[in-house]
Amino acid sequence: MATESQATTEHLTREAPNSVWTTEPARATTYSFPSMEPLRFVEYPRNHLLMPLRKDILHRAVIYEGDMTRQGSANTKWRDDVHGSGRKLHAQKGTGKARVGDKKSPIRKGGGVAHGPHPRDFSTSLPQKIYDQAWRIALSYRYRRGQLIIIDNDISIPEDATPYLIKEIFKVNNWGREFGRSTLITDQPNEGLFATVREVGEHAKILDRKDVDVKDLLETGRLIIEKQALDRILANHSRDLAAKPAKALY
Amino acid sequence: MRCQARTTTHVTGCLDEPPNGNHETFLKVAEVRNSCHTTAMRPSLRLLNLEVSSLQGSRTLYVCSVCRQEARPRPLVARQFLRNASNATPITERVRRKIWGTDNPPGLKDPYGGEGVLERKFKKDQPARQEEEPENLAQTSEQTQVENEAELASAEAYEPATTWEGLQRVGHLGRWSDLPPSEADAYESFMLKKKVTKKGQLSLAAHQAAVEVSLMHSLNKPLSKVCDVVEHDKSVFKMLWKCKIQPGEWKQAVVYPSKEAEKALVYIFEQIGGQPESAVAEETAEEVEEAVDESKWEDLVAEVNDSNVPFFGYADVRDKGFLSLSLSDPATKFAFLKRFSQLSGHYLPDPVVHSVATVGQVVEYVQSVLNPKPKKLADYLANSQGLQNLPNVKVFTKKQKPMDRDEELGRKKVIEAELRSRGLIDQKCKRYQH
Repeated sequence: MATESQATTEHLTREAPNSVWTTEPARATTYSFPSMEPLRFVEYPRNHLLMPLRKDILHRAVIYEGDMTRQGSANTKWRDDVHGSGRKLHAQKGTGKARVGDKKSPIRKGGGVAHGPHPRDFSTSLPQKIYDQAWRIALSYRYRRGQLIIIDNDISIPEDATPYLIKEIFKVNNWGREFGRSTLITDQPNEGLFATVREVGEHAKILDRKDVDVKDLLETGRLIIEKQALDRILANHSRDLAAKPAKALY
Repeated sequence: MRCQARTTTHVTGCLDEPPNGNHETFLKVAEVRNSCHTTAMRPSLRLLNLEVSSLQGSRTLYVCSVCRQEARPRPLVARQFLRNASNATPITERVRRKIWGTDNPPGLKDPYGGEGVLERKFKKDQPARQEEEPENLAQTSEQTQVENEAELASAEAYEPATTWEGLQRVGHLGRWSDLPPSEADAYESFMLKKKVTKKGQLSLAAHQAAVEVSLMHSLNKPLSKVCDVVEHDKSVFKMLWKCKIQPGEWKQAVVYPSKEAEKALVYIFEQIGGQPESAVAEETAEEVEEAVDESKWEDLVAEVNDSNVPFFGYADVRDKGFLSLSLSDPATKFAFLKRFSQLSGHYLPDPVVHSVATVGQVVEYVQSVLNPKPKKLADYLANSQGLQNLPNVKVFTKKQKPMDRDEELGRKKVIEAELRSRGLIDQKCKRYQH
């Protein structure tokens, strides 16, 4: 007991540590696409690319997206949906057989499915502010691990380029399968590029901004993203930052 | 039904009323009667030809199916006919030979009066077609002759392959990997395609980048322009290599080996961004080489003329002063890292870029990436010098069992042999169990 009391007094006498708030923005390098020449440093606010990791929020976002993408189109016929009459097959008593209802009963061949699936909507809800945070947390996670490569120009290849070029780019930059694959994210869909990259699917994955989900951001070894796409994603998912607390007007 | 009706009319010959009221059928049957009755009386082998030609071509002369059926030879005959179909001598000729008993029977070749009307008509068409072909052939004959000669000439040198190796690949599924890369597939990378891995070469890259950036600083030129010249001439590189770096301000960091070298380097770097230097450096460089005594450092230079070797075969830097240069200025840091990645092939990820404060930390980071910490504790302990030097400690990468101790003491083989001889372990079993 004596030792405990001693410890508490020491704690009380000790000075409280000053909390130091770093306000430095997140700095990133931008590159030009095929050559990967560093072009400049760019800055992003801390609440965009330096969000603390919240696995729970990421989990909720991924589940939310997974639920939303479920087709939910499984369909069966219950006994009422099966075509046929509701006539009783034989009399209740006197035949020596077990009592029966109509032919559409689930226990009979050709009958309905008992409590079978019907098309339905599996989507769940997630507050918009939490979902927006999840986007920024996912990007911050990538940034902090050095897996966010920002491209200053458009991700594009020459007209007559073949998948050999993509393979070579991935090989030189260590982006390929042995380094965990990479996701290319463009702002606008580009059919030629997309078709070419999909030929080397074992190394690369390509998506345009509208097709990207939080799950895609977390999936492969690194993200190679156009700056324009990144800026738009961040701008579209900052609703929780822009919201101001309600003020009393009286 | 229709067929039956027709045969009955044919046999009875009564055609006064059309059967079943079908007028078309009646007309046809009437026609048949006219043509058939002459031949139907005496079915001969010549009708065979008639039947064939009626099937093949002319529709003008109609032969009813009964006539055809009657004229058709019996199965045995048919087989004989088929068997001899390939023979040059026609069946009539062979029959004549058999009758006369000689190979050259007297009389007409065809005792039945030559070819029939249809046969003659049918044959008339064919020669006409055959005549056309020779004309075409005559036109192309000269070409084909030349080609044939060429083919013959190549045929002499032709050797059939015994294996598929070395043969041209003909035909594929048209996938991109079946075709060679196009011209547009050439990839120009900014950084070195083959990354530098040796410690000395990393230091060389960092040193060169530091000297160049500080030179640009002192000349007040845009720093990132140093990357315009990917690789300097060997003499220029040698001058850069001899420069020392004084820790402190980037502007006054470079210590030149001599006045001449300073002049040359300043002259060269004045031009960077405008036009790349080439011959200018060489004359001055020779003077510099004489002026500076570097016998002490000669052993660092491996004399390699191969241009593919990075840093012209130089193995390490002369002094380590550049390692403590500060990278606090973002522009300097950017220029330095850009040049460093161009020379070494290593990129620094963004968070590292903003945590490094000196050139030394950059080199350190790249080295740590190249030589990662072992993932297994056993490997880490086995490699640690402190543990290896202790006399009473041994580090194994595997768990030691009594069997290992037996092996160490040299009795494992004896034990194993004894166990085998007594039949206590399986003959095939490699290891014995304790």
